[in-house]
Amino acid sequence: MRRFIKRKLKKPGRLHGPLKKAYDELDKTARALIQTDLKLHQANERLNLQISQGHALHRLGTFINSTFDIEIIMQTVSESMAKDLDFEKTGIVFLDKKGQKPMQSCYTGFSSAEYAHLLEHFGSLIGPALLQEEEVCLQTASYASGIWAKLLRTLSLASLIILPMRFKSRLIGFIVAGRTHITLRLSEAERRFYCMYASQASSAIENARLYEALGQANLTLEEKVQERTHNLIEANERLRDLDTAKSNFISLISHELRTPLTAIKGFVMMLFQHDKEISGEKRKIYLSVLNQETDRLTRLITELLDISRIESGRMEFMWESISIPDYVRKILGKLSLEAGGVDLEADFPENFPSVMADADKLEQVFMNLLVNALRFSQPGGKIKVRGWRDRAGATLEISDQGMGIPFSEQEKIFDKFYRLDNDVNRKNPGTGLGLSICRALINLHGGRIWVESEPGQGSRFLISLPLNLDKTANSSGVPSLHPAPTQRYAEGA
Amino acid sequence: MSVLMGIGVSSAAHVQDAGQEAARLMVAHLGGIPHLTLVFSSIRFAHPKLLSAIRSVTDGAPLIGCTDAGGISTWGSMRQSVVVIGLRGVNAGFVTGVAKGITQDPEAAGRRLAQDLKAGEPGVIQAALIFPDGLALNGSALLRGVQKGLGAGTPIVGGSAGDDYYFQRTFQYFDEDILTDSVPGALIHGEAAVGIGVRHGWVPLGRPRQANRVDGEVVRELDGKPAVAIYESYLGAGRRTLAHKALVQTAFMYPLGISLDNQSECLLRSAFRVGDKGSLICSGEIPQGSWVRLMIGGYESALAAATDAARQAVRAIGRSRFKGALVFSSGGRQKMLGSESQGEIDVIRDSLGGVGVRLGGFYGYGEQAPVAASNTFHNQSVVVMALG
Repeated sequence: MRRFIKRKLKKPGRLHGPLKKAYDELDKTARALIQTDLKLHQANERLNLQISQGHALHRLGTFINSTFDIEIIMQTVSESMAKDLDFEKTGIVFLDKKGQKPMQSCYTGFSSAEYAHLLEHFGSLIGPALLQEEEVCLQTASYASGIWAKLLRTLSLASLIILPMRFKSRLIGFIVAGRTHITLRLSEAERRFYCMYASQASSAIENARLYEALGQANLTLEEKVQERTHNLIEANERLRDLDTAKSNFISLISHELRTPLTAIKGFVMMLFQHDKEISGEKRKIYLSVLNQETDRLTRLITELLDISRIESGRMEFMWESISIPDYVRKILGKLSLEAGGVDLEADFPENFPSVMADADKLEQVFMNLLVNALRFSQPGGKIKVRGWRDRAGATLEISDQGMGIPFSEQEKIFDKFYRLDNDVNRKNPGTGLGLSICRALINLHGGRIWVESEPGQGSRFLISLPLNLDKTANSSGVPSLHPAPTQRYAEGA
Repeated sequence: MSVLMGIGVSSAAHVQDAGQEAARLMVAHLGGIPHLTLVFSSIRFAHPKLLSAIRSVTDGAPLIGCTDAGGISTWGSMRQSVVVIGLRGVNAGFVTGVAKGITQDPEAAGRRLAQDLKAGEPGVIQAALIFPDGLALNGSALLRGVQKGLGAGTPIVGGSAGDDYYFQRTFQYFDEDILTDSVPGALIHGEAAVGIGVRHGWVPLGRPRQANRVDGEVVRELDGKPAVAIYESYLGAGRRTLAHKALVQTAFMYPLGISLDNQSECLLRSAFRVGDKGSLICSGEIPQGSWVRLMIGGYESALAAATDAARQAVRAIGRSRFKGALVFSSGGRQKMLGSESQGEIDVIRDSLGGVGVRLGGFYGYGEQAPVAASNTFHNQSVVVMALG
């Protein structure tokens, strides 16, 4: 039977009648079967594809939603595009807040040169494409032209897809994925899938970003609180210091005030109580002492007021262009009467510049320094005032041949109430405020005052003044200088 | 004495990592450095870095392989992965060779491969392995060339490279080179036992048609009509549709079956493209005047065929000598079986000895194996090569 059918089958066309009819019908059935089979397989394939896509989405979602680390998320997305979706080269890019500049990035399969080249084209090519297309942008070497074709060639890609990552319709970044050898054709279903993929990545990334921002804000807050606390502690300390200094100052002043007052009171009481017993001579002496002490008190109070005004910024200055040599000669003239055998000399070059200064204040300074110098000079000694022009402006030097000042004292003498302990000072009562006032005044002129000296070699007091002041005046008529910080109250007293 | 086998797989994201991982697993499985490395991977891994990574682990052992439509290993059937198989001979050895430019003249390319292989001065040749470009037609002419070069007595076994069903471009691996339109190969020589089984389990559906006009692998007319009519008729697809997409994308599961004398199964040929005047360009030759029918595959018959092939292979060498098997299956089978393709690997493994049996291979666009001592090109078939 089998041989019969075989023979018959080998010679078609010889079949006729009912056998041929049956045969043809079988063929029809076969056709229907194959077509059904094909449709079934195609449906199965689509289903399997969707299942595997679902798995890929799920795997991605589970992983990236378990972390807030943006780096890890980016790496996972990039590697998953390669591993699960079969792309040879993948990358994921963050954009800045305006969505214009690539910021952070992570990639797989690209060389660093290739990737840099890709990012270079963001402004011209990728950005515009992302803005235009809602979903997936696919470029293939076979169909692309112009710049796209060139880019694909440089990246050695046959296909490139670009997926925008959006969060609440704002573009936050994009994913690129390329195939080296395969020209891709995306079906509707595949496009939808890639969109879902990109959107998974977007939300995970946006979440991580928000978390990071929160963390940052927290840190900043912490830092700010610490900073403020630190500032408060410092301010507190300064207040305490100020308080201490104030107490010290008050006790110092009380002492300085009390000393002459006690003397005055003493002599007044004496004159008052023993008026009839005191001789005319003695009365003269007593009254002279009273006068002196009153002067001393007046001087102290004047100087205190000066210091107070300087430090509270209420000192008023009348600025004018001064010719220092003239002033110095005038002052030396005044003092020559009291010089008592000390030679007073002024030495200024012809072209000594004029200086913008307050004449009265400068006179006060010169007087102070010259009176000091006189005090420490012996008859036959010399006091020389000279000046010269230099880079800083105009410099003056008042030199004497007195006992000199030890190095360790040369700054201290400019402190409030500080007096060197020596014979001269013991004989001459003084407040110890003179040099500190000089320094404050010279500083407010924008200048500098200091001393150079060696014990036994005399002293040279130097004043440096700038020629020009900053012409912008503040409301009290004082040109805005940048004075050296005013003296702090002397510590301890 | 025998050939030992170790297998490693990986699907890491980075090509280099995947190569290293798979190679290291293979070396651990094999218990040492192989004498011959076989590499089958999906298209994504076709990069020189893969091969250099593998060879850095195998100390530069000779390497051949290709891209595929899926990988096969002891652990099952997998997509988008790298399978690295290491073979080690005890009193047996391997030589490798390659020939490029198949498409221009497949038979000459086959002969060149044979020459290149013989230049390695093998001992007693037991079998040849070849992995030609699956899109470079014609497979039967190539096979003929290799056979002519090696002599009729050498069994030639292998699979044709695939590319994940894109049918755009496949790649072949030879040492550290990525090639295309080429065929790398190896000879197993010495005291190795080789057993081969090949089956498909496809059944004919529809009436026979005679191939009146054939030019090698191009079937011009079936029953006096343009050959493509057979697909138009049975698939219900217009010529335009079939010509536009590669025909093979639709028709891969429905090859043409050619009746062979004295064989229980037909020989299958996949129709790859529609040529001019409605001709069918097939993957391999079809004898002029042969009777052709459309073939359809089914789950049961496919698995039964796989079992048969495995049994045939292991019977040829004896279960006691059996060490491991290479499996070259068709992408068409994987497509047809779909999510159940694991079943085919399971039955092969069970037939060879059960859990822990060493097997490795891939799904390609064609298979090579001898039928009745004659080297033949197949489609939609599963080839099992038992080694011992």
